[in-house]
Amino acid sequence: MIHYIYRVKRLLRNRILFFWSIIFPMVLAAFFKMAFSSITEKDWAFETIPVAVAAQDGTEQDGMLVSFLAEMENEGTVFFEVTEAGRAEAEALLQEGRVAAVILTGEEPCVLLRENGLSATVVKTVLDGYLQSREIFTDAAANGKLEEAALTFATEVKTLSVREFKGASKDPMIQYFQALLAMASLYGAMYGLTNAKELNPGLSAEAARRIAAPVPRLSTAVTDLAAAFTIQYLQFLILIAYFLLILRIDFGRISGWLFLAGAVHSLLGVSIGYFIGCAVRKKQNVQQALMLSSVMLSSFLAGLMVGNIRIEIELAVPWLNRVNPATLIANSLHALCIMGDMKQYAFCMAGMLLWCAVLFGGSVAALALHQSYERRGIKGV
Amino acid sequence: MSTVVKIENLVKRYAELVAVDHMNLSIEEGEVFGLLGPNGSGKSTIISCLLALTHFDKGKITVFGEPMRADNYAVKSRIGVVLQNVAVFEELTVQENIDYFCSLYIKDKKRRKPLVEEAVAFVGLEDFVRFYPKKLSGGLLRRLNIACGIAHKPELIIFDEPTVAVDPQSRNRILEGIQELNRQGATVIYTSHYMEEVEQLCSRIAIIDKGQTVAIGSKEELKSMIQTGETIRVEVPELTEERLAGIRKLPNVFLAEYKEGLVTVKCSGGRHNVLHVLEYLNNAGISFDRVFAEQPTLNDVFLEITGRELRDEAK
Repeated sequence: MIHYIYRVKRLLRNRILFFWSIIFPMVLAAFFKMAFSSITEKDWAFETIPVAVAAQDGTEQDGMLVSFLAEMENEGTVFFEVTEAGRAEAEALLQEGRVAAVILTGEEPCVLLRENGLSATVVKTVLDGYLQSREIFTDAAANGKLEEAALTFATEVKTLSVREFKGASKDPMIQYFQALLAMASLYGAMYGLTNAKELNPGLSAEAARRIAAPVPRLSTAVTDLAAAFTIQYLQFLILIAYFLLILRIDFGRISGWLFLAGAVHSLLGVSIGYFIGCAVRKKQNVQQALMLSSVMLSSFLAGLMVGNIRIEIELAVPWLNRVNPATLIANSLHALCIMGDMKQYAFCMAGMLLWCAVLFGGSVAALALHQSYERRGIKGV
Repeated sequence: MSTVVKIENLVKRYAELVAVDHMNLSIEEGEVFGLLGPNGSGKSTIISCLLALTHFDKGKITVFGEPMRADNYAVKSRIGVVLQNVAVFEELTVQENIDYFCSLYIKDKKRRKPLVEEAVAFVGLEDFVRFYPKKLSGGLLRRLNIACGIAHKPELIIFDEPTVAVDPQSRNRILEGIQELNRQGATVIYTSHYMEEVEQLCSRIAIIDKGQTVAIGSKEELKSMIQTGETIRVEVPELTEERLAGIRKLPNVFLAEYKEGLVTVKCSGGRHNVLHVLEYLNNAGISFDRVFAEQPTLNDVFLEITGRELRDEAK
């Protein structure tokens, strides 16, 4: 326990680590807030969303969906201005910015978007609700309960959809703050990097002294990891509190799942640092540069600088969004707080935990490999 | 006396470089044992192998009668380490640093507290316990480094060049401290490329070069191994080759050379060597200035055995 306490003390007193992992994201968030405040206020009022509905190749237009969308309204405001079009025409409307989204109907309906934000959230949520209810309706019809199913379809879907938006964030710039939180979580890599350095006698005298002591290396590694995780998680909580209470950012639904997500985000950040520290046998400044550039690139691809980049990536290289750590973090927040999509949330969490397992496994393997090379006198590892 | 450390046929390679080449050493209880050699001679690698910080290719290391392995925690708990590079944490105060490193050996806080206080007093850092390392001078930092290595009262203490870049006052304090630890019963291994320190401290010395032990023994034994018994240097403005040849013929002289106004004469033992040289110069009508006579040093030992200067290598 004493080692854990000293470790926590050390990490808390390290001003450089403290700056990058909490002060820097806080300052950046304050700048974001200042820069986006006028945009946010302007977009605060709910407005009708122009959408185009087109049939996928070889399928017929879903007339039921078109009329369903056209009838939806909230407090006197019509949700959607629906344009029926062919696929090419609909995509052209999207490119020109004349519609916010294109819904492609068919066996597996999907949504094409120009940018993320409230409009995108509304369209996706309504479509999800519609598809779920259509499935229920189809099953009920197959079981001879057509009348009951029709009633369900007419009432449940609209109620569900409207209810879904009420808890969600209306802040169109929320993705920037999600990406910022992802970046802050990934800065936990600095703690991981420090831990790795102080476990390797070849990298620091402090490590040599610790390894020369009668304490198992694994025990030291676990203590260090626990301390790094504690600090990183604490910083996540501080940042969330700062976003919600000081900057008053509308983060959407806040539930206990958010704190579980924060724990996994923190673990992911620390594990990245561990991996770089163990696998990259270079000087510490090289490792730091690599770590910072990896985090910044990952955060950029998650939308830190260009808000709708995640959408562009989803259209061009969707697998990148499934593997990019910062995107997984941002998407887990988006799924949880904006979409209320627990399936997507669970997918992101699983992806992050898989990353953690791969990175920690890789760190152990890299250490073992290095020791094996050292035994055989192979240089440059 | 029992053997504390036994190194047999140790070989450590880094790719093509053989850092330690079939090394054999035996260190007895209560000794201050010196490892003397120029930079890159393999001293620190021997220490790394001894502490199980690095794997070695061949050989056997026994400490306190047990094979030294990374997981031999019983043996590790009896060893203290003071490394060449200062190994303390910038974010902890002097007291916290000593307490932290002591806690790696002693879990019980009550047992640890007096030991930490004793270590602070031993290195004379009582006035700096709340200071962070970056506020300490180089000498004080070295003292903190020592306190972190000795607080748990180890039976074997390894000092790897603890006085590098230290002012003379702090250096003397460190050396006195090491002697005191030895008087208190600790066996000490001391590596350095400063021959004066090794001569002052060590009861036995191993001279290391290119990963091999080139000589081992007490300083007297080492000096007796070489031909040089006395080195005489005389400042002479001018000296012909003929006169230099005359000096070479004097009793006990086995080497004489003239360079930049200085005659260096090496004698193999015997008595009145200075008198003989000065008489010769006087009789030959050669004027001379200052005269220096030195007993052989460990540098002479290193020079005669390896053909190279220990001091030059160390720079």
